[in-house]
Amino acid sequence: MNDTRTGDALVADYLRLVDLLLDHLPRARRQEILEGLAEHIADARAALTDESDSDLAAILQRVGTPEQIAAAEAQESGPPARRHPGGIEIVTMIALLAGMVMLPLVSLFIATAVMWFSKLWGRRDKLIVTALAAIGAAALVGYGAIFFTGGDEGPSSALGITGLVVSLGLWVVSALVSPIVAAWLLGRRIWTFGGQPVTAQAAPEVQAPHPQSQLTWPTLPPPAADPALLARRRRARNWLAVLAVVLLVGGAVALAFSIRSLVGGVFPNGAVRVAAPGTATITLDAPGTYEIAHEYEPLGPPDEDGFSGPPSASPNNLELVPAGGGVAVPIDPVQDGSMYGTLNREGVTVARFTIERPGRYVLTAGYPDGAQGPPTTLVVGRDDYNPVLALVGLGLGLCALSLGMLLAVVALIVHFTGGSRWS
Amino acid sequence: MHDMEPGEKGRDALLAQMRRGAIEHLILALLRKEERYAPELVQVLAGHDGMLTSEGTIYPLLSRLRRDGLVSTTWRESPSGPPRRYYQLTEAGQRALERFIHEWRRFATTMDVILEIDR
Repeated sequence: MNDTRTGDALVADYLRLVDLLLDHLPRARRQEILEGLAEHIADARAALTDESDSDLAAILQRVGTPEQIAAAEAQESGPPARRHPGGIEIVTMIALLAGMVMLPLVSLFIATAVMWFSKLWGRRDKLIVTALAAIGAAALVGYGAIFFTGGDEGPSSALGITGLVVSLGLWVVSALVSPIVAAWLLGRRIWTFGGQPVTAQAAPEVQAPHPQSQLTWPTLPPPAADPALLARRRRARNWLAVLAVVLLVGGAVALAFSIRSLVGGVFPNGAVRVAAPGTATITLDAPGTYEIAHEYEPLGPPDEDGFSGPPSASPNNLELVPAGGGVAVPIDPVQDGSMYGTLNREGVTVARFTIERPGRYVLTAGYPDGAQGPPTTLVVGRDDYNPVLALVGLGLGLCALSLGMLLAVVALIVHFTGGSRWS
Repeated sequence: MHDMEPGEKGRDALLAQMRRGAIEHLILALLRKEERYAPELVQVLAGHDGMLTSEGTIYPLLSRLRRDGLVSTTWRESPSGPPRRYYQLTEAGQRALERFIHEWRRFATTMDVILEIDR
């Protein structure tokens, strides 16, 4: 007579050992074998009227050690898949990895086509890689569509920064994400990322247990795949997932801020736009130096050389007085002011001034010497805009996003293969 | 004690080799007339010397036969206890079994003839 709970725990331990030894198998196959064993043991136990420890030991003895089960499975699986890459595999990998730098999508297509002739890669891998190539192609088509719908004017004037960001994202997908994921998928079959399966050759020839021998289990030699290793793999997967989420969120935030900053114009800190020529009341909420820029539609009518550029005259006849009256703020004209450009606007700095007291001011702007000119826009903003920062943010955000996507894919693959294909 | 081991090992290895190709066809043969569930198959095979090293090793084998489409499985209520997974022979399994029987007869005849030559 034994404690049923102890017996159940013993059986659970036994099945767990088998599970560990079959770790290299796809989950469904491992599950099928484990279910069969569990039923078998339950069946044998149910036949006993009064189960003693030695009864259970005898049942498990007859079922066989976990090593015997694993050896039998290794025989069924046949010799492991050939892992030495041949010409086809080498061409595929070179096309994927080297081509990424030079001819991103073309090389992905070449790799995909060549890959189908390989015997090393399974159908599933081939289908996934083909799907990746299709996604890459779709992304490239989207990129091209955005880039060229602008017609003669290019993407900038037609679609602005959003179009640029979307097309950049699509380009990253087609040129980086697709081939990297594909290369990882295919490469792991060659460079044995996964746990080495118990091979048919290495499987020990099973000895029939001697009927009178002591039960050797559970004092078995440690299983090949030890729990610590499995736990490490699962921890690695979790960290991967966390890192992916952090990168995705961080990348999205960085992207959002840099886009907002770029779209907001060159003067993100409370830039004010006023129509010129004309008079406007503006609020300057901090003391310091401000810049006034003449902002015009870019790519206006081309000059005789066929280039469009800044208008010849700016409304730089400026006067700034406090709204409540008082002394006019001195305005320093800026010669050859720095030009700036967002994607749908361009501007040139025309003047600079410094105020001591924040508040409301009246700005009067006209063309020099009372000349007439086209209506246009002046921008007044703090002199602390740093486009480099926004562009760096944009780049880092895109990188973080694509890396995050990649890690998320890796974490998902690790998750769905039970951690056994990753070490 | 040590002197005996090579002989024991040799016998086991020989049996294992002979068993390897045969056992799956024995299972197919056992399913020819009726569907059975795994412990039943084990019971019959274990009743014959040298056919099963340990009972549990049948499960990887059954799994492979099912993957190869030679047997199929159905869950059936059992009179006592949880439902059981029953194995049936598929048409492909039937064909594989007939082919094996045919080849086995030829093979066994050849073996017998040659083994008897110099007796």
